[in-house]
Amino acid sequence: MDSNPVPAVSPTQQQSIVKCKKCHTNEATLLSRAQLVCRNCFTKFITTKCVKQIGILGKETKPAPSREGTGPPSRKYLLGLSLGPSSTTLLHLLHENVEYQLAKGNNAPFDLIVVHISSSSSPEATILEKYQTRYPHFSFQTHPLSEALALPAINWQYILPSSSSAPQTLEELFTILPSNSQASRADITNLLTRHLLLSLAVSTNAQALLLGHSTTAIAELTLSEAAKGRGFSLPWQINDGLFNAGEDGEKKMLVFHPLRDILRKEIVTYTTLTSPPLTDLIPQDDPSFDSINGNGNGQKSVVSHKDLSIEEVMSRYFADVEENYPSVVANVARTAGKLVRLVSGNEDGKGEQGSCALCRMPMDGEGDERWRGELGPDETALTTTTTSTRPGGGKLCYGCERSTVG
Amino acid sequence: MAPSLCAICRTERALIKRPKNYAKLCKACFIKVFEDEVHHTITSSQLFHPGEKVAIGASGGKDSTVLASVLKTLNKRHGYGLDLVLLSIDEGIKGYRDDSLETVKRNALQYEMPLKVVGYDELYGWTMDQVVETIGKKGNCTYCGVFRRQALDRGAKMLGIKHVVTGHNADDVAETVLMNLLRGDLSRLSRSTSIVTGDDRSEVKRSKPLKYSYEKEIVLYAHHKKLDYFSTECIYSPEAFRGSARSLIKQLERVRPSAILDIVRSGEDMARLVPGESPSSCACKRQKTPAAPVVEDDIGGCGSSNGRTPGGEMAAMDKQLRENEEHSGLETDIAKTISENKQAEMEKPKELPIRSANAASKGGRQTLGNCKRCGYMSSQDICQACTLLEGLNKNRPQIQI
Repeated sequence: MDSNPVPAVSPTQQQSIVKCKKCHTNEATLLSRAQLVCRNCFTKFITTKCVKQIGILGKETKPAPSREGTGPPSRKYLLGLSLGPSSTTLLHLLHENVEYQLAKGNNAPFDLIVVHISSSSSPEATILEKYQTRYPHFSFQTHPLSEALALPAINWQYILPSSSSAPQTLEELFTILPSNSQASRADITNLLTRHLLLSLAVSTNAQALLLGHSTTAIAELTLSEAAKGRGFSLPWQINDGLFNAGEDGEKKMLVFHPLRDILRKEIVTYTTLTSPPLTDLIPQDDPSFDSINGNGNGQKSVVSHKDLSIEEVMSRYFADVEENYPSVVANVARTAGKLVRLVSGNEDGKGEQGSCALCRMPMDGEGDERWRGELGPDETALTTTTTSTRPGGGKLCYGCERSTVG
Repeated sequence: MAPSLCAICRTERALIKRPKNYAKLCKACFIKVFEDEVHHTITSSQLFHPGEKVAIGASGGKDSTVLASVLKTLNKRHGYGLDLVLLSIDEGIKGYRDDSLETVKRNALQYEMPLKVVGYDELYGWTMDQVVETIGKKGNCTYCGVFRRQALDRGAKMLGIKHVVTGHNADDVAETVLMNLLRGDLSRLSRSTSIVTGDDRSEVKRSKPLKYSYEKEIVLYAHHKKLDYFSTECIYSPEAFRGSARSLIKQLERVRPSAILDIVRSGEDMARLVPGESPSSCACKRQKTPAAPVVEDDIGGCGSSNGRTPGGEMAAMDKQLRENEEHSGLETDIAKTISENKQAEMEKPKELPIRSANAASKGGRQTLGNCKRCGYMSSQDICQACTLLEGLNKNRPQIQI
């Protein structure tokens, strides 16, 4: 296939070879953070950024009591693989990390279970074959997203009070929900994917769930979640740390984003630099790949803006910002990471407010109370039936209420 | 298709689809519900007290015109007992402000409110046209924004008024939330969503009664009430973070109309998550609405809703951030100091480095004091307006009399 590294050097420059700004020996062919660098230095840069995070993760996941000699690896992680460039790159870098340790005669530093969540109800078994062949150290699984519907973490009686049982398929869920816009569907799909990954991480006894979010993805997530009214739970979504994984948060799972210091465009470039290129693995119909790796400003043409999700609007916006102002993107992600996780409701001695029946993020009782005061009870009365028969009954957070009942 | 009936009164034909939630309403019910919502905001936030003298910051644009009209209506309907005055700032921009001021003068007659116009020339000795002549079109919005914020306060003081209401709407607030996220400015983020800024310590408090009103509904209200407003944008409009955030908001609104309110909600909640901020700022515990301190900032600079920051701001910030990254890569203490200084400069890009006694507080939380020249509240020894003026006056050619 056609794998072009980002051509950063114009033909005129090529005649007199530009040396890499970092090693000062090789020819610079790539642009990295406003510096012309060579292929080697670029690859090293990406690897270092990721290895640093893996090191932090390693410290946080204490090894099990070490047995002398050649015991099994003491750490175990679960990686969510969307088959897009970021999660594929993370998989590749984890693989390199394991190979490196093995080559040094050490044990593999961790076990890895790679899970792909498929939107199809009967995912093809072949979809991960290429991945499995290329990364034989790891075990691969595919799960249909609909499995998330049966998870005890989601309390359907508060979301769909009129139906007696959990919906069986996503189609069924989306037809029952009063709010059925693309924005709502995308939001709920994301939540369910996260739920399923967390639950699989718990059931496989993994110590951490690894996600492939790039700096750009974290910046996008920050603004999308803010736009969906989920500002309160933002620190739970973008920061590394423990996350409630069970029905009442009785189980905690460490969620980690090892690519948080790498921009998406750098990852896309990286996928063309490995040998063989990762682009061979990534399905070319992957929308995230298309929109990012397209020609120039490559965005798919939009039929109707109404049919976009909030996430799509943000990824279009950030593709542009990332291209022209990459440091602004990094600054958004860094700044949002400073927001603190707050558990609302403690100060009046009411205790914890519990978690949302759908997303399982903490409820924001104080924020809800204030909002009702400011906007009045009638604010939503015109779009839904009446306030009193509103589903949720105070068990859904603001963002989930918006995505389910409008 | 049969014409649908208004969702509220069920008798009149629905002529308006509310931009906020797509509810189909008749004209009378739309106007009523719009006013009721502003009334709710005013009462739940306890914005006013009976007999209070309130200045409406009037630009002649749609937001402040609607604000004046709604406040007049509500004041009468609900007996707020307010003494309302229009307060206008004349920046001295020919072809823009002189026309919009005519609108404000007509409004004053229509709403039977006294009008006070304060000019930049009388306050600062400079009109905006003269400023632009001196420094060029780039960056002049900084001057205008800084001058205006003080001008409203000074104008209010001249009238003996302690409360200025402005026409900032939900779109403006949402825009400011996104803009501060894009700029990575958490301390502004934590202040920008408050409905009231400035407390009893400051001489003049500000509030935004239209904080939850959609811009599109404000336009509809003005249209159906046949209000007389001026709709030309400022001729010195910049392209900046605000413009970028604004176009993003418009796209989000198309995808999900509630997005604007959802962003406002997120902004209010995130304000409580900023490290060092008081986690509790609930307005409904029968205490007075918590007020964020006004420290030389406010949202949505000009009446035209355009930014107060110079064009290319995003590019400049990107460059600055990149330099910081490079500096932090050099692992010597000296380089670290330089980088920190750069950081501090970046946070206050519009100020001259002034050696002052409280320089130590610069990096930490802002402490409120008063400007040593004009007495206006400021976190620095010399306020932004006086600093800018100093620069301007230096460049002014000496005119011989």
